[in-house]
Amino acid sequence: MLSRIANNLFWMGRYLERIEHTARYTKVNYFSAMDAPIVLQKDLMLHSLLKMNGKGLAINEFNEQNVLQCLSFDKENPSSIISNIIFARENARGARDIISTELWESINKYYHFVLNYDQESYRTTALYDFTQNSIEQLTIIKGQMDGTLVHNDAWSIIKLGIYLERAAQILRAIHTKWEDIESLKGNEKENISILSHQLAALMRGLESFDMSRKHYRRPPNLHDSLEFILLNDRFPRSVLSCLRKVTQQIHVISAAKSLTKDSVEFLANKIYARLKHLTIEEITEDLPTFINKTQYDIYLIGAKLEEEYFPL
Amino acid sequence: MEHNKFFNFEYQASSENYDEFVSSDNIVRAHYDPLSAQFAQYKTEHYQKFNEEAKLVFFNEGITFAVYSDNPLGSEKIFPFDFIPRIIPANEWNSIEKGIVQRNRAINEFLKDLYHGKKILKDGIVPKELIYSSANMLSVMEGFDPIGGIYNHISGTDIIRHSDGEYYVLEDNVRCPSGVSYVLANRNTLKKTLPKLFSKCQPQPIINYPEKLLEMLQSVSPGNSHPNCVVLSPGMYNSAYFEHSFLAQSMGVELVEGRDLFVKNDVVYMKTIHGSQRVHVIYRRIDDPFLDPLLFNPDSVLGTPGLMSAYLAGNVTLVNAPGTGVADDKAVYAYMPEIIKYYVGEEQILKNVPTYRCGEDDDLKYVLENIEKLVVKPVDESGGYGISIGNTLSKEQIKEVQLQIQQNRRKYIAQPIMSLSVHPTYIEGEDTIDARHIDLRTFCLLGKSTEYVLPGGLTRVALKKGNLIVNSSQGGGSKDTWVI
Amino acid sequence: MSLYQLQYKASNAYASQVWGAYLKFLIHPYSAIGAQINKPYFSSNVEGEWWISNARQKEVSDIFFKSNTKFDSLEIKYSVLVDVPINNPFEKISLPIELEKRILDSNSWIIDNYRFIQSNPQRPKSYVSASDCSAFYWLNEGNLLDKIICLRDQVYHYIEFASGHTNTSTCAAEIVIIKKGVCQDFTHLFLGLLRHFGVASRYTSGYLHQGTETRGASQLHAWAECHIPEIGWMGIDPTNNLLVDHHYIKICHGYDYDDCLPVSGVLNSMGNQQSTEHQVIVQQIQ
Repeated sequence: MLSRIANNLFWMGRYLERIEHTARYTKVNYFSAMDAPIVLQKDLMLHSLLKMNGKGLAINEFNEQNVLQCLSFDKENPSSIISNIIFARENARGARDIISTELWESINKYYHFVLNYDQESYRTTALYDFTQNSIEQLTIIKGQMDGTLVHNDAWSIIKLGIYLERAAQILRAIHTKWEDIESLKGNEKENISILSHQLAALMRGLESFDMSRKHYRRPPNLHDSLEFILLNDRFPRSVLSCLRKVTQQIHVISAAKSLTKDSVEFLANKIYARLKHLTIEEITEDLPTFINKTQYDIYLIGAKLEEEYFPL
Repeated sequence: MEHNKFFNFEYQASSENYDEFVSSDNIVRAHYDPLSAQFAQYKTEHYQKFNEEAKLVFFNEGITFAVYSDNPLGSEKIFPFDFIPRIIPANEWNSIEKGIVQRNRAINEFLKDLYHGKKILKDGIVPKELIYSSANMLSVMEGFDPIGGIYNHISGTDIIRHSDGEYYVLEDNVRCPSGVSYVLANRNTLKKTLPKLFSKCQPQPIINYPEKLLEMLQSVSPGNSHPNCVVLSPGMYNSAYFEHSFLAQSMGVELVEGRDLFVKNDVVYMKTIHGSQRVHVIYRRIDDPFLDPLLFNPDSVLGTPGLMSAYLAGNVTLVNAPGTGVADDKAVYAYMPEIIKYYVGEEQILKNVPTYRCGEDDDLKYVLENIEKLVVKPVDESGGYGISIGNTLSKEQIKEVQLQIQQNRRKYIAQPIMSLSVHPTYIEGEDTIDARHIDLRTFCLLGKSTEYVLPGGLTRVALKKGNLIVNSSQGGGSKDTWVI
Repeated sequence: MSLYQLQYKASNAYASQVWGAYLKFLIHPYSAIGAQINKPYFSSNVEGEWWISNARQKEVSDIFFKSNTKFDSLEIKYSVLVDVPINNPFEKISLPIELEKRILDSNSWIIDNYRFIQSNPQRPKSYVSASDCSAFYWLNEGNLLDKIICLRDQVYHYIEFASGHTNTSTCAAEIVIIKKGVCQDFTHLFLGLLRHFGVASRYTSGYLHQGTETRGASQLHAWAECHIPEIGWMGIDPTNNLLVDHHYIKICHGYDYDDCLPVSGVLNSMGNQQSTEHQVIVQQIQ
């Protein structure tokens, strides 16, 4: 496969995964803020949405409509849903000979959905419809990916993009929520109901609320929740599980190449193994440092992967 | 009159143009009998259905072309397809085919001569000024011998039928002629739309074109029994991207862009996820000035630096060879009968349209005085741009054209207004079948020891009533072409 | 034979960082007419690969340099040994005038030399109009070589050798006005006039041995080559008012300077502001 095509596929995977996380985080936090304890005002939620998206707004522009617009339909914002689907589709188009018609059509269909969406109604009444539809259409796109592509190099590279991006997004969500909690005032921070509200939003935003409850069979707490989304190797939306799949897919594309110390495969295996043998107690001793370090590790894997297999 | 209800419509045969379907006394030409009989069974609803079905096939398969416009991303359009096939009887086709081969062989010899001894100029057959001032004469090609001695591996000869019933060559295209993917797509679509008629008529097959193309590409590889052939495209924003991708896919070769290739030690490689892989033959669909920023346009990002060095070192074959543009210049066209005679030693089989060369004093005088009877064309534009058709111009416009010609004489040629033949065509929106002008782009492959002409070719149809310009960028459509 | 050690040095500084380059150097000696070339060696402060291409014509070799590293300055050094056969231009004998004239006027001479005989306003560096030529005259009598030499003398005296008044994009028509310049300018004007008078002539770049008191020896030098029946392409140096002998080591030729750029190529960078310095050392070993 041409390196350029591989690059297209990798980034297509990453852009698509970003859309799903932006849509779900927005939906969950927006609606959970509605019945939140009084101190969790809307502003905190809106700031959280922007932080998750990595986007700032000038103070005089900061209002609900602008924030929502910026996250979904601002073409100037490279992390908005509309930008991401445009990028993803461009990448898919450049690799049109490699991907299946079904996958192409599902991406194209979602692209037209976003482009033609009534933005006014989204900002006022249809936020649920837009975000929920986005999540569902992304599920369909991923279904087409797994169901209609030959599971060869091309598929592995798309999946690599998805898993790396997912790991990055999980870490980003934890980081953002952690800052949300830290920004609360002294006695509010101690307030169990406020804390559990934020935790629930975090877990729902990663579609891991139900499953973690079933797994631990007790009321959610910070420890359990973080352990579940960071270290549960059998839960597909945990960082550890994503990294395991990253190592597996890299192994597929590296084919017969011998494992050298400076290869991305070696690096990914090392990072996965290190995380696998950490405990949640060790992690929570200094969560911000852990998050920073792991985010950097994931960045390194991505950069090295590009350098080794598909430099531009 | 009963017998002109061929389509359950009053099909009005054209009086001033040659009608492919009926003779001047309104009788269906023999080779259209099966088609006429079949179509007589259909009603308007059927036509609508055929038209919709055909459109759907194109849409679903993404057979589109991009239109240049203000939108930087361009927009994709379906190439309009007319489901009534054009039929060429096999005996007529045989002579067209011979004419095409003869003509393109002669062009090849002409190019070889221009880049070597230039005998044709020294013998005074073609005036030397014509070649000297051509921007398409590439000095780096002087003395270079392409593998197999082939320059115009792929040629697109455009042919029309005039009101006298004779075929004429309208122009030669020996740079990167496009359109062949539509021929294959049209056939594919029509098979699905009209299977019965298709099996009754059994037109000569065209399905093996990609195979023939690959065979030709492999035949000019610089010494490797398993040559790696690729299609080089400017990228997905190019108007013919569909075709590039279609050809690569149907030959089973890689579709590359300039940035996928690099040159080291005069050898071309492509970058893959498993390292670099040598490339032997490049079917390039980018024009000469963009091939190599080191030799031509330094600002071009479409090509690959060092590509021409690799080519001139004989380590990679470019198809078509660089510098072929000097031969399909419309000013050279005028000398084609002499060129054929000079190299092949035969009279031309396919006729040339009489051509006035504004660079010559007598011709210029005639052209300036008779613009209303002539088609004036710039010699260096493609896609139907810059053409003035005399009988459609106002007095002011005629003056303007006269001025343009005088400002740059060599840039213009003029030809009598040829009347393109007409063919029954379904008119969308009006639900009728009416006569529309058509031409024919043929495709000829020349390899080391192979030659092949695609039976039929691309029949282009001007969908606007009375319009003579059939290019897709100017609102033309196409038809499947059957050689029976 | 005269054996020379040639050294070419260039240093380029770039305003913004470059990540990757594909460069072509026209600095390798021309290999025709018996010159023997040995031990070419290219080095650079930037990691990369280099090779000698002999694709363009058999006699001309491009040196390519390809790098994928990041850098903001590039220094290259090239050295080569070249053995040039003794060349005495005064031994060359022209054909009888009548015969020479017949050849020069023949269609086939004009056709074979078409690339270098035409005045081409599209290539203004060596283009002069009829009015630009009014300050010069063309001998009516004698051999072509005599006429060329006469014109060379006029160009030599017309232009004052001085650097800093022109650059690599100065055109012949400007030289006519400012009357100052360096070897490229002498050559461009000379070529423009030659072609105006119907002589097939081409721009030539190369090294010049500095042993004698010549102009233009510390840089790449430029002169003209004229095509003369029977004699062939003969080098004429309007800058030094000399005929070219074995002190001149040719690299390549073309229509004008643009065909002989010592460095050209593609850089991956945001800006392309650059400053370049070239240095040439020619040492005679035997």
